[in-house]
Amino acid sequence: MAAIETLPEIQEVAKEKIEEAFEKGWNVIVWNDPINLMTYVVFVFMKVLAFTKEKATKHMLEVHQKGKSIVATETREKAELYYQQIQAHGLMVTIEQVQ
Amino acid sequence: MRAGRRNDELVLEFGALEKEILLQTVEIILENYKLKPADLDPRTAAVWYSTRGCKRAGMSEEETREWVDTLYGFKGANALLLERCCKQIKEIEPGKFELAVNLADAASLVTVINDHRLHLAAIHDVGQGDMDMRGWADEEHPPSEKESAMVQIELLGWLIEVILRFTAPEAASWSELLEPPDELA
Repeated sequence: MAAIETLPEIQEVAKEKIEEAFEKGWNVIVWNDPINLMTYVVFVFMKVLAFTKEKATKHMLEVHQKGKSIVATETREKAELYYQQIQAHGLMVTIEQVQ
Repeated sequence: MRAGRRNDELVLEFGALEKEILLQTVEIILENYKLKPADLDPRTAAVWYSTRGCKRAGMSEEETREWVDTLYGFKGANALLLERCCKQIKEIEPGKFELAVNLADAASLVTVINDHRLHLAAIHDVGQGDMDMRGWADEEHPPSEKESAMVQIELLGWLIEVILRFTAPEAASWSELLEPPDELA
């Protein structure tokens, strides 16, 4: 049976898409705001991101003192999942492609 | 108000006034949760259903719409919990009040209360400066709507802290990790 041939261009696009899907190239960034309590932010980090108390506290303090913290660097799909879950808890969050 | 654990439930005991405040709060949140994002006060919608992150992530209009729909679905799930709370509060005999919430639901209750704080801050334009100031300057005059909202935000914040102490003690005790000031070391 003859092998199925695919246009090289299509192969290239598919390869890029696969690489992009598996590449941990997306930062999940949580931003400071005046309303969310520090305890609540630690609680959300522990619940959504499964952080330890120490890691959650470190990132919460970074948000509080520096205005933002990169809480995860993930694949696009996983980053979107975190983004949605963190936003559903009322924190200010964005995702951005790693430069 | 007192809080405690009974088996796998969080039990909150309130006075009459606290009961009225809580009932009113729960009813307002419930009403807002049921409103579709487009029908909600735009200031609240901008916080609850912010699409700023979607734009930064380069999502298409369709993806953003689906995104907002999913968030709306989360609020809808919490609305069921609120309806149960509302029913429980209304059935309590006058002068007494006890709200029992399953521990598994307590985390959602915290998020619901927090959503209302965000809503109050959004519609009364409460910012960092206001939160740092606390209280109101002129004690001879009744507080303005914004000042009343700030008191509610503080009160609900305290309620969140109380609930987390019982349901997420690890998170609630994060400040133990901080080094003591020099004079206490």
